[in-house]
Amino acid sequence: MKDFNYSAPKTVKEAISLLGSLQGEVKVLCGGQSMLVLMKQGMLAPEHIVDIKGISELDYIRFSEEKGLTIGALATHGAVEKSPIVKEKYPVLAEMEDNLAVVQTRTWGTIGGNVCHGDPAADPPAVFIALSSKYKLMGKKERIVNAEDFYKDLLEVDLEHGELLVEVQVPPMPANSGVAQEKLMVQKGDMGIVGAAAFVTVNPSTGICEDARIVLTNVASIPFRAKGSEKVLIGKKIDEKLLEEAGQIASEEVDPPADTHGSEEYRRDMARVFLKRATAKALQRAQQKN
Amino acid sequence: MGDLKVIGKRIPKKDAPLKTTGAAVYIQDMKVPGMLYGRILYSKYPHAKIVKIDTSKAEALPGVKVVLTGADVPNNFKFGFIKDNPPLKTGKVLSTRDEVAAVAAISPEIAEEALDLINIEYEELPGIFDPLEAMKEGAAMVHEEFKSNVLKMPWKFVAGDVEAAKKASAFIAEDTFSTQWVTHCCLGTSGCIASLDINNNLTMYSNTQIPSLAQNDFLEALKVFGFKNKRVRVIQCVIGGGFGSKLDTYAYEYIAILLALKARKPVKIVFSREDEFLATSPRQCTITKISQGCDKDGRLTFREMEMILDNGAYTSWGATTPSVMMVPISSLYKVPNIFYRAKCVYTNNTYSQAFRGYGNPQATFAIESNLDQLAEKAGIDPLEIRRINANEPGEVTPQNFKITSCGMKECIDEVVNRLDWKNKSGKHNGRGVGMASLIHVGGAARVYKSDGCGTIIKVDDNGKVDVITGSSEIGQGSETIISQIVAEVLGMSIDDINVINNDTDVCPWDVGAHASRTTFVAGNSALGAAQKIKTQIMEIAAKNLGESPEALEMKDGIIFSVKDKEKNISLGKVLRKVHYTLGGRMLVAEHFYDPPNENFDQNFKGNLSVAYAYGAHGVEVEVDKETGQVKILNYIAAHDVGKALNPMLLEGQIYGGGLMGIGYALGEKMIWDKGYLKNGTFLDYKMPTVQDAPPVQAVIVETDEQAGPFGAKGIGEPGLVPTAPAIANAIYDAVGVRIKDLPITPEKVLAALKEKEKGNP
Repeated sequence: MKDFNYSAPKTVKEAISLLGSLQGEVKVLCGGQSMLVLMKQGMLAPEHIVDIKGISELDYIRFSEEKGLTIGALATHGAVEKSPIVKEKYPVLAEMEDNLAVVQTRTWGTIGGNVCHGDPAADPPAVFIALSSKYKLMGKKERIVNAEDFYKDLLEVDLEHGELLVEVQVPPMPANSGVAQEKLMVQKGDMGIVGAAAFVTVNPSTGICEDARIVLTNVASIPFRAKGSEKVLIGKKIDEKLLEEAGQIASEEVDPPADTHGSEEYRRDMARVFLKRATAKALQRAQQKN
Repeated sequence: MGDLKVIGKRIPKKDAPLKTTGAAVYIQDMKVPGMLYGRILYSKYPHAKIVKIDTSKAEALPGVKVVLTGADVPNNFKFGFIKDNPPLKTGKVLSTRDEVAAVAAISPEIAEEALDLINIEYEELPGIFDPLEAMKEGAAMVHEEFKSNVLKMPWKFVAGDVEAAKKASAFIAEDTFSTQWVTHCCLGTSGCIASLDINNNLTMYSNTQIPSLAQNDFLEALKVFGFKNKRVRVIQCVIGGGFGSKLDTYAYEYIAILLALKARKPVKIVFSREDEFLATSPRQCTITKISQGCDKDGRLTFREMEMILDNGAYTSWGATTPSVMMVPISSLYKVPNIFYRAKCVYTNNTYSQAFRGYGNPQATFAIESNLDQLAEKAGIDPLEIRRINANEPGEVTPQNFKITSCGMKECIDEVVNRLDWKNKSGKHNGRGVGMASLIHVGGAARVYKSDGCGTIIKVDDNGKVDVITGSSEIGQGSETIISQIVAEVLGMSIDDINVINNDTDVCPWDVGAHASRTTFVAGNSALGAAQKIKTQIMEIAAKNLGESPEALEMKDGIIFSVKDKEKNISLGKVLRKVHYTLGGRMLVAEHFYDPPNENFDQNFKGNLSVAYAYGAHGVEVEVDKETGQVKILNYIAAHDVGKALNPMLLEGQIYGGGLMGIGYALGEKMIWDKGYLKNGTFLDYKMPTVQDAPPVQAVIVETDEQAGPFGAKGIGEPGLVPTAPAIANAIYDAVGVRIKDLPITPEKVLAALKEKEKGNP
């Protein structure tokens, strides 16, 4: 690991002014669970590291009926996992955390760091996109971006020089909606060979699917929104056959990598299976609410 | 055995507080004054000519003290089992873990930076990465001087007449099985500090599991380097796991010595996790052709096996694993006719070494998977074929193993009952049960000329006991077990026993922590020494109390007359009496235990071990037919251990072995792609973590081995031996597909399910 200049601002204001003034490659460090690995492997060697762990104003998980859930960038995975309000209102996030790495990683790793890392295999971005979440960025000015639009390419996100992600905003869950996440793990807590997060709303009287947002992980260079599959489901009553069709579409649309953990062919097949499984579970949850 | 006070009790490991609080001093923590930090540069290519090395920029970097290349290795020194491995390579590199240069600097960061400044010009050569390719006629030679890629080692064992037995068999099953490279994943990575005094005597701080043998290796090296009649002292820091990875000496150790010689300062080399993946030696991958037969009643008639082992580019002690593979091949179940041949083949891959089980898991995977195939052909329940052919006490196996205690049938019965085998097997409904048995050496193994271990016991003025043993504590709990044995004999608490086990200047000879031998050999050695010191203490106490030694007993540091407890004397007082007397003496005893086992003769016959360990594992799995994922629902690991000296430590060995075996079966694989390691991180190398641990029931079967200390046999390795075939057999029972190539990944299972649907076997 190469030497770097280190600074640790205590407020968002201080951090932003620092980030704006530093020249050369700057990286924001928080939990470090993804970034330090890249630095250790020599894939990343920033000149400056701005450690935001001390900005306590960003360490929060809040909920209101109007705004929904807001998670400060410093909230750890462990905090999300254990949060009573998360468990009550967005249990899918607690479930996701249970399968996210190991307890040490969850204790150090933060939501902000995770979503900014831009790993298409990571779970939180997919779940946040399925939930129509937005990210709040602070720089010279404040920007709110859709989580979905934030991801540009492998490990590349829409963060400009001098910008800091400060908050994840998850809207309130609509009535008659359900959400679920599933992934294929070899080790509990690993990134998953393929994963899926699905959100559906169902009309209680007709049983027809009114909305669906399905995001697959580790099948493309960014979290993959399975729009073709969603289209098939929306406006219809979801049954086994329809799910199979939606899964089939996803297996054709994804552009998965082939690596040591799975071939392209297997990943395509698993995209089908996990799209079906996550959607079926989300559907069941939506129906239970009715 | 009467009333045992300490033996058989669930006593926590003595070193547990040190390790859990971070107080233990590992090689990583060690510093000696003036120490430099060494780093090694590995080859960029798996097979290449080294055209030119330019170290000038590295040498010029401030803080760099020494840069070495192959040209600096004196007198063509090579190490390894057949001395084919120079610590720094010249002329050619044969694998991507080949050491090509090394640096010593005042900080690890500077040493690392210096590596980047070493400029090497290579001329890449085509490599051989598949042992089958390497065996073909006209294949390029990995070592040109050997004229063959097949190692000249006579791995062949024959008993009876396999061809005749084949003709007489009612059923025969044959198939081919293969296994992968897996690595030990010790939490404590390899490392050492080489320190030379002004006379070039070497002190090596190390985490080796073979201190006496390493001492000898380093002495030999010093001789070749031109330093004759020197002394070598090996001091072991706390060892963070070995599992066979530290059962040999390695290039990094010789490089540290060479750097220290040149720098005239101590040099520390400690592996990073990446180094540990790349440059320690994995379990060898194997290709096994097997055929077994039985008569119409299911009695085994023959076993025929041909194995090919990928040796990699150099030869370590690991090339002798076929000798231990022979243990199950010749002696797992009663099989009268045996043919076995193994070939170790050079390739441009990493070179293999010892790993817990030492070849037994690879052989047992083929035997026990194939046995289920045979049972199916014969129409016999897999459990019955194992019962029918199970080993028994008093048997002499084709390799001349004399079976003493043997609880194999009891282990099988435990598995059957606890798994509810009768109700659960043969359903083929996505859930299934499978089992596999094991035999392993359980009373040491005479691999070297010596299989001994020495113990010295001394008692101090305060009545405390120092036990100085040759055996190494590598996490297996030997320190605790030795304390228990001595405490039991002397009627003391284990807290009064101090075990010294980490310094060859002080500790007696031992051939190392291998072959599941430490409890058996070091335990017997400690037992002998404890009995001798007890005799001395009782004689002195008897004189002081005016009693005969036979009339006395010793408990809690007090020696007393059995008839009249008022007549007593404390151990401390006995000691002070012998020290504070004109013409006084010391209270010291020594005992060397070398088990009455045999080296193999030239036909690989001989009673390798004084006793043999048995076990059976049973597993219930559920297979996800859409993903191919295998979930373990229940796992029974029953082991014949002779006598459980400490059930808690024993269960730890079984859980640890079982989980290691589950990783071997279901996920772990080092991916060497054309000579390059593709998954040398814990992110990509799928070792099961505590989160993946299925419910493992450790079942202890006691058979009271007469030759063992208090009846005990070894248990260090057996826990992972039958795991993979038990799981493979359960998968077959669940969904009817047999995976013959480890690890059993979801993708492989799913592909097999699809083939089955298509009607292909």
